[in-house]
Amino acid sequence: MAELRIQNAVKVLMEPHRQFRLEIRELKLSPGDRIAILGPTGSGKTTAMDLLALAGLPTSADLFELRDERGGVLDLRNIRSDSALAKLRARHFGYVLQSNPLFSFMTIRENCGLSQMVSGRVDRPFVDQLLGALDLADASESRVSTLSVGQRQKLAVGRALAHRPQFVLCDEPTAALDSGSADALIAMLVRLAGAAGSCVVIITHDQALPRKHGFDIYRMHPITTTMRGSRLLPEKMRSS
Amino acid sequence: MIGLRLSLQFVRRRPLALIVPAVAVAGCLIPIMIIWSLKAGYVEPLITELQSNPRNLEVRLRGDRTLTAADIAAMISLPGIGYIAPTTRGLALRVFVGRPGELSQSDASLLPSSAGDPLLQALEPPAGDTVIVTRDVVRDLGLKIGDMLEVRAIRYDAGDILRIPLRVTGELAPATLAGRRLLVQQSIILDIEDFVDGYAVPAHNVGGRPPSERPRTFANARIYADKLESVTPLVRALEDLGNVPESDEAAIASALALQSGTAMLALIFALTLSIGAAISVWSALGQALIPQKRVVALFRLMGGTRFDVVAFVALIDLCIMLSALLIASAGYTVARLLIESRFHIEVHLPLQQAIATAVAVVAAALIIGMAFAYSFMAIDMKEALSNET
Repeated sequence: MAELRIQNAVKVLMEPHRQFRLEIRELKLSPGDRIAILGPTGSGKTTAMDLLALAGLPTSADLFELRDERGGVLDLRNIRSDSALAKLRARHFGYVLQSNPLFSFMTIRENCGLSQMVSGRVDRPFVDQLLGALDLADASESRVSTLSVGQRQKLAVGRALAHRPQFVLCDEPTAALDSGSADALIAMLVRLAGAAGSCVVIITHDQALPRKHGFDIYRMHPITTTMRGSRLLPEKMRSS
Repeated sequence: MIGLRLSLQFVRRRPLALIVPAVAVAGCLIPIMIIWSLKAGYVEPLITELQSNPRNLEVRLRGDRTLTAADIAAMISLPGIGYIAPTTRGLALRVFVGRPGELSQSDASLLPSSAGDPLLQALEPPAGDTVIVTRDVVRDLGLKIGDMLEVRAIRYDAGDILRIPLRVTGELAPATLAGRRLLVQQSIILDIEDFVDGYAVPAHNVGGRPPSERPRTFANARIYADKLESVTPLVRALEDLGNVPESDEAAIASALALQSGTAMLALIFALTLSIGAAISVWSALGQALIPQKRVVALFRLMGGTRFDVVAFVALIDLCIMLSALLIASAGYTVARLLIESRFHIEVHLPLQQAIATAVAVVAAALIIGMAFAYSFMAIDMKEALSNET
């Protein structure tokens, strides 16, 4: 299974009226890991997600590498090609977002299988298996407009896992759900990702939920520089 | 190929999203096609007929007057002159024609003709023993090419008849020259005038006053401009020489105005409606695709390439335009049948222009599709993530 390693990475956002510095001292995403990133709004959680998702590269880093299943090491700092990064994202990453956009003209099954289509790993029986596990099998040929918010999140979990990624990145996946549904969704995510040996990273405001499901907690700590910024540090305390 | 598969799914599942803008574009295309067809099928043939028929180049001089060789030379030197053939006074041009040896005859008019006469078109000019006749003469006398006819002129004071046998070598269509007319060499007309006026005509063994006593002048002339645009200036120039010319210049001017008017109208319609069609497609694409923007951002985040996004947008756009072409073709056919049956006007879109329309539509589709695809290509995949830092 693949591993993502980051050491002393800095991401500086220099946009008009918006300057921000994110520091990640050390972060290792290994198979089966469960990591939660906590922090207040505006603390840079999504910037951290951009880096982890390979949607953006760090401004500087001592180490930013991906070790694949065969032991090969890929120094991500040197990749400048958009299509090379796209291939890596398609192969290794799954995404569950806060408001999960779905292709409205596709059925539930097709949306679930989209990540397979993009990664080229088409496995229809696995899509059906996932839809069954997510309790969406009966509606698999329906349009996504028929789904409730909770069902949409479930479908997003299915889509994120359908191509068996090594890393499942979740950006506030339970923000739109009540506490019961949120708990059930995370439990389902952890169970399905765990069965596949995937590493799950969750960005959330909710402290209790990740602790309950055995996530390692990382927090965004404010740093004092000439610009606004945060440093991502482990809480050093494994939740139960 | 993922982009193509996505767009095919879109097209299959959202046919209304294609049909509605396609109908809007077709609504813009049909009037363009009809105006173009009216121009090509009705106005242009009218103009072509006007330009190709030499009769429209004619400038007639009203009444007979005395034209000396100097007068004729002055006319020949006028700019825009295509052909000029001096004639005798009208009385000498009116003769009878019949078959040789037959009593039945018809009255007819003679016109002098020679090489360069625009009425001849592909025909050889008449020689001293040949004649070119109009269809009315052919019909009245039951002639065919190669037959002989006889031109008969009467010297009324003596009751003598001059008979000139001529072989028919050509026939003029009524559109070129109507009525009972004969195109003959100028010398024949001069002989007839001499005969009518009592002068001797040695070529036909007719006695009379010596021709040398006769001052040689002309009474009129057949005048043709070199092209349609020269007719009006030539009329003015002839007026300046003291003549009273008349022509079809008003009709020509109206037809030319109609031509430029329809061309301008077609251009304005084409421009306006093309802009309308482009806006329709753009807004239709926006309505269909902008709601998909966030999921496209996620698609990019998931590893979809820019090419996939471009293919997705461009194929949808192409489907809209091809549907529009089909609907427009059907609508145009119906409109054409209605116009032809109700107004009896021929509406015809030549193949070349139909192909040009299709090519223009596909090119416009590609330009609009590419512009839209570019805006989609620029979607930042981070838009899929939440907006906080």
